[in-house]
Amino acid sequence: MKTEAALRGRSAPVGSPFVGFVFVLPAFTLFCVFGIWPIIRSFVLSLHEWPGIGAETWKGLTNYAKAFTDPIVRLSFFNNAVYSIGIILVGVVPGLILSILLVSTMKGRLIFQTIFFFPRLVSQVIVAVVWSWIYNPRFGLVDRFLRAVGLEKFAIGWLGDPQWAMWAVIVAGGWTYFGFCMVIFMAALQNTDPFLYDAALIDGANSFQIFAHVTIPQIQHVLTMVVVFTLIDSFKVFDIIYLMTSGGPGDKTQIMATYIYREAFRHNHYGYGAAVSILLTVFILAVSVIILRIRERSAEA
Amino acid sequence: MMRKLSLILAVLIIPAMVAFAAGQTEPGQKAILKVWDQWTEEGAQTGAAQAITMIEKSFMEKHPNVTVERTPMQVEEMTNTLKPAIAAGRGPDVFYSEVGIGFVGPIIQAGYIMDLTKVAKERGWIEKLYPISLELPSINGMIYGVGHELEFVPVYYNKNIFKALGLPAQPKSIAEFEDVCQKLKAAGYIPMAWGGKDWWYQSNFTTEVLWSFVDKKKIEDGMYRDGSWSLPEVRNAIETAFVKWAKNGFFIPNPTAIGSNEVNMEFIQQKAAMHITGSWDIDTYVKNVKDFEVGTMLFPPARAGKPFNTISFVGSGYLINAKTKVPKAAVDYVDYVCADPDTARIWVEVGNKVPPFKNLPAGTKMNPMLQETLNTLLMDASETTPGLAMTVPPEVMSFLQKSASMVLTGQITSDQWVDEFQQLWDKSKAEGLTRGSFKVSQ
Repeated sequence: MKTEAALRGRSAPVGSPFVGFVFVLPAFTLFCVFGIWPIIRSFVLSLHEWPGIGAETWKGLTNYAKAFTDPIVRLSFFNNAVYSIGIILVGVVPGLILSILLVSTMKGRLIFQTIFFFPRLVSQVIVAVVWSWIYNPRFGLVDRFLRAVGLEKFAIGWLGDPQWAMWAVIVAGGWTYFGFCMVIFMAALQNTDPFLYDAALIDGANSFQIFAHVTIPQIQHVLTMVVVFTLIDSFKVFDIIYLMTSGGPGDKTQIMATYIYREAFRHNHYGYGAAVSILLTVFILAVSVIILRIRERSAEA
Repeated sequence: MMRKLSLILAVLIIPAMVAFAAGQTEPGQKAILKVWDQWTEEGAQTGAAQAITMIEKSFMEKHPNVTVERTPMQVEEMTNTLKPAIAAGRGPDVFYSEVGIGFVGPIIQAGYIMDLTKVAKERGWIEKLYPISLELPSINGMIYGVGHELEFVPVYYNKNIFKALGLPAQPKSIAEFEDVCQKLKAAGYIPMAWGGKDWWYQSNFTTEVLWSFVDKKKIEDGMYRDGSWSLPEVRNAIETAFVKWAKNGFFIPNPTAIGSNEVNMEFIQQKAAMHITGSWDIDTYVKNVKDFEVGTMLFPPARAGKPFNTISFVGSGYLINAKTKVPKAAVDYVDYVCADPDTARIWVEVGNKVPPFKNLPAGTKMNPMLQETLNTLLMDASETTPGLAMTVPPEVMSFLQKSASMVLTGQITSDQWVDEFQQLWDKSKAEGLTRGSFKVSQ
């Protein structure tokens, strides 16, 4: 029999929504303060002009109208799209291929997994610095190798060349990404049905047919998620490009994040920077939703 | 329950009250003076970091009721954090930052920068300091800072190579300079150690060639009175430096991918004979150049007979937060750091910097390279003009930081450079961000 004191000490029975809410409250508060409030504040700022200090001047939707006609916004968006496609080619595809090779029980696969995952652990700042050295036209590994094998005419200033700078950055970015993709795909492959592979072999399927018609369908949900995350990450990228090229030469590697940074922190156009960042966020959300919906529909089919 | 609530409130409120009280000073209590500056212990600032440490210690000995809490940071970090910190009331009392209107303008208009016009007169800064130290950080008759770290952008060259090839130590015109470059190239040297990957190399070298080709009066009209930049001389300057000289191979190969480290390396390793940089790199030479003698020449004028016009800068300036709770300590600090003969000696001898204080004490030992730079500047028919980086609005500055590489790589022509520069200037003028159009709001 419970004493009165014990009953008084218990404000609500365990399992009630109120108790759950109390436990969630600290994390929810942090999320509101550091997540929701900055988004609301950014949106409000995007409707104003503000030089970073002092009064904000109401502009309505002027900043959004300017963003849609700004040629650098269009160029930056295009560069982000190129970067996304590049990271898929240089990061996701090799990650998938490596996962298939390493998911078997070959000897030493753990060592290879560790080596291939290692770049993911390296800070983006260090990646940018090291790859800048690798691409350096005076002492970098790439140009020294090209000269050593008689391909001197291809030994260019990669990060200063308007045609190649973006691809040079993509290779550096993809280098940090393929190991991560490999690990995700390996986890997915370990949940595939081995009987389907046996059946395919019995039916005379070759390696490519097995890959295309047995492996891919079984991991397509993971593949979709990886592509969605890759797109989101690629459109959010900042540090590696800022440190390697600062958006140059000219604006050839200018991407949305570096342009937003420049407009806000260099040009004191915080309102405009906020507007462009809101547009970027909406775009990423829209693309993510569309891809997920398409995947859900094809899964239902 | 009430007791628990009271305890919680006490735990929250009392520390806040203590923290608030700590920011206040009462007579007899030690004042805390928060200073943000850029004297980090890295690269070309190592000597300066030692100098400011000595100066700070000496200041606190002379002002025992003041404790200086100094936070050194990189330029970029200062640029990004200063405005929000000041606006939030968490900013420093004194800060050493960029003095250009593009950066400081919004802070001035928001009322956060102390007007030092009266202080400058009372403390004798106008007599004691180089004019540029007060001219650059001033607008509409208001002095808002004290420029420090006087810098110049001559051409440093390898005296040994020049002597061996019999080259003139001071070309008197661009034509003579090009002749020197051709001879250096023929002898297997890179004529100019210059790279366009780092923004300051682009903006400084662009300014250097503009100052060579354009008369000082037209430059000043453009910078201070929104005069036109659409001049044939401007076009010629850009075409000469970034089309003709690039084609002639006067720079390090692939210059748009070459950053400051590689530039320094090429010069120090004697692969390049001239180094287009500023006096801030003297510290680098002192530490790293062992096998040859470094000389100073001025970047020549476009034609013989036109005066030499060298870029002058203040590295940054000391400004005071208008909302500081320790205004006297803040002014005393800036006065001591910038306008005292003893600290001037420390800046020169330990920091390898040229302080704003004009009359160095007798016996001050200046680094020979720094002395040679100043002597070279004092030669006849030589004048200085502040660099564009000190005076242009932010969007024009962004263009200067990338446009040399755009011309070098054929993304734009020299004519397009001139057009875009003028358009951005006109846009900034319309926004009130040029020195000619900026208005201090009341």
